[in-house]
Amino acid sequence: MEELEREIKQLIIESLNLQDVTVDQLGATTPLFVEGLGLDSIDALELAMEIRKRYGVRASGDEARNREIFASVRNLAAYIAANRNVNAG
Amino acid sequence: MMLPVTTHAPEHPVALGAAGARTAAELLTDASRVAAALARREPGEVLLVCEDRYLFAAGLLGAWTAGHAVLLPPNGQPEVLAELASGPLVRAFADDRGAGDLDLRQAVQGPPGPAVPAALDARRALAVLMTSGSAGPHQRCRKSAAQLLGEAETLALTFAVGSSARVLASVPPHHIYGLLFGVLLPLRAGAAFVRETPLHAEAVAEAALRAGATHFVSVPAHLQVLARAEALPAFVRVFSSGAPLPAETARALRGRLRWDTVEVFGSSETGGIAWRGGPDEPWRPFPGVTVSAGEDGALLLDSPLLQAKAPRPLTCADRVALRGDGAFELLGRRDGIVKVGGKRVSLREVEERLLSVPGVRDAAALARDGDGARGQEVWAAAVAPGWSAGRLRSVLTRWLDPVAVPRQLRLVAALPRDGSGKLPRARLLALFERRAEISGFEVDAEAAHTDDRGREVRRLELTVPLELVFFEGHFDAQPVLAGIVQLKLLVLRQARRLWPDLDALQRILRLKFSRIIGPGTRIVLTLTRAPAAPAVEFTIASPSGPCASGTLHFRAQRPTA
Repeated sequence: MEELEREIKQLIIESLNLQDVTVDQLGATTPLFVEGLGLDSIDALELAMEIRKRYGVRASGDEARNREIFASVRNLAAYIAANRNVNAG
Repeated sequence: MMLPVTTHAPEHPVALGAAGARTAAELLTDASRVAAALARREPGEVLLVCEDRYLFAAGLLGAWTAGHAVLLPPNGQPEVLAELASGPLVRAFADDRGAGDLDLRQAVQGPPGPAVPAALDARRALAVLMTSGSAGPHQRCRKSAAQLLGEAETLALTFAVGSSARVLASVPPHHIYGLLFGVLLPLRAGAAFVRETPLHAEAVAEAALRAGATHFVSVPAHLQVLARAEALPAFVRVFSSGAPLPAETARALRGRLRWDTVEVFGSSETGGIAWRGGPDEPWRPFPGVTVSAGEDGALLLDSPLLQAKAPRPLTCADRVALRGDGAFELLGRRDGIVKVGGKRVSLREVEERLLSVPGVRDAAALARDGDGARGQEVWAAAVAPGWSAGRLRSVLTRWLDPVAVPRQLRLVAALPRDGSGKLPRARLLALFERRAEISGFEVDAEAAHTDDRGREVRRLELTVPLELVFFEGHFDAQPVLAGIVQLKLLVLRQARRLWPDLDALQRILRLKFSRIIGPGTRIVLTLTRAPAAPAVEFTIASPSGPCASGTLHFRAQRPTA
């Protein structure tokens, strides 16, 4: 799971072009939106596209659930780990 | 004059969604309960922000019934809300998350109070918006019933939105656009809105299918991503506002998703001005709106939606070219006009040209003081996957006056727009400052250790610049970093920086390129050297895996005499 979290941090930094953030600065539980990293809804959409491309995992159909999933690297990792095999086929 | 807020039959659904359907009668009752909770407070402003559009509507109608105007925040950031809530006119902070002093989830459980009036006085102030200017803090903008309810009526008529419509929105109800199209329009049309505000394609699909949504209210930033989604339900009509919709996105929405997308042009201060059905159509003013052209092509606006005290016609910051039939073309903003080398350049035109290039998803231009006779020069940043700055610039030169072609063109993964799509100049400028040196690689992180064989190991994290002169000419469709460039610019340069004692390069052994490196990739360069040895081993890896490796052999150093 730690490896997946590291990958996701890398993905966030790369796909959103966060030039001032390094993997080591980004904590697994750092809030990604509003306070914390300060991403916005457009970032969330871009990130969701990248996650779908990389892991074949789609966002939830429930937006309230998406807010939880995208709240932190840890939540994203847990969601991806739980869904990537399900969605692979 | 009195203006109706809703036109529903009592049992007609007004709100749909996962949280349950509500009828118009239920909304009026719940609004009256909110009014009861607010009635004892001196008329003023109610700060209103909700995730559930139904509770927002109950709060809105309840506040109006109790004699208040609603104060709508520019965003939902906690500090912004806290600051607005402490304003001198604010009597309550109503929300559905428990951050305010009036929790609407509980207020709609309370006893009913005064009945919601069927119509409101046109002159009454109903809302205060906080609009963000290009400079300085948020400005307060008051909206009367004539403006808000008048615009909702105009929208219902212009777009033939009837009581069977079911409106889904990806923009929150506290934005003026989301308020008008996502709440007031369905209320005025006797139609229904969807309670939730989905963002991701999967959530848009689920909410739309569950509610049987017919209309979708969104913004270019969301639509650009949705246009790339695999499957989304059909809508009778999609609305886009807030920023220009790239022509490519408009065509993708229409062609692939079969979404009949209408762009709406207006501003918080003026209300809606005009609309168009596609990137190749002219803008048509809304009924009652007259657009003429003033000095320098300035848009002169006369509209029933203007502030009562506004001059008529109002000179707007946009430039237009009129057509005979009252429709017009937008030429860009007058405040986006700059002089470069004595010539007039529209920054908006530069942006529009960039956006019209296939593959360009977002673009922004600015003018800044240049050297010598040019006075100012144009810089631009664009999101253009697959393009190099040089090739994009060469496309622009086919259209733009040479002085208007950006002297600096930055390719970025995303423009740092704020939640409402605006791009403050300082943020845009910062994109350029970060990469003052574009021919080189920036080292993001650096670490050193000694391996078990006593060799010095240097680990460098670098980002391949999105635009590198060396991408030119290599594989037109997909810029990649050529091996020779990796060796010369990256490996050799860093090796020499770390170990200035290395002599001339003689040969490279076991050289292997195993994976291509594209612009924007984060790579790790590892350099290993035994103490004072004339050889350096290197590996380059990207998140996808190893990219290159080999050993550089330098001329053995002659012992110093």
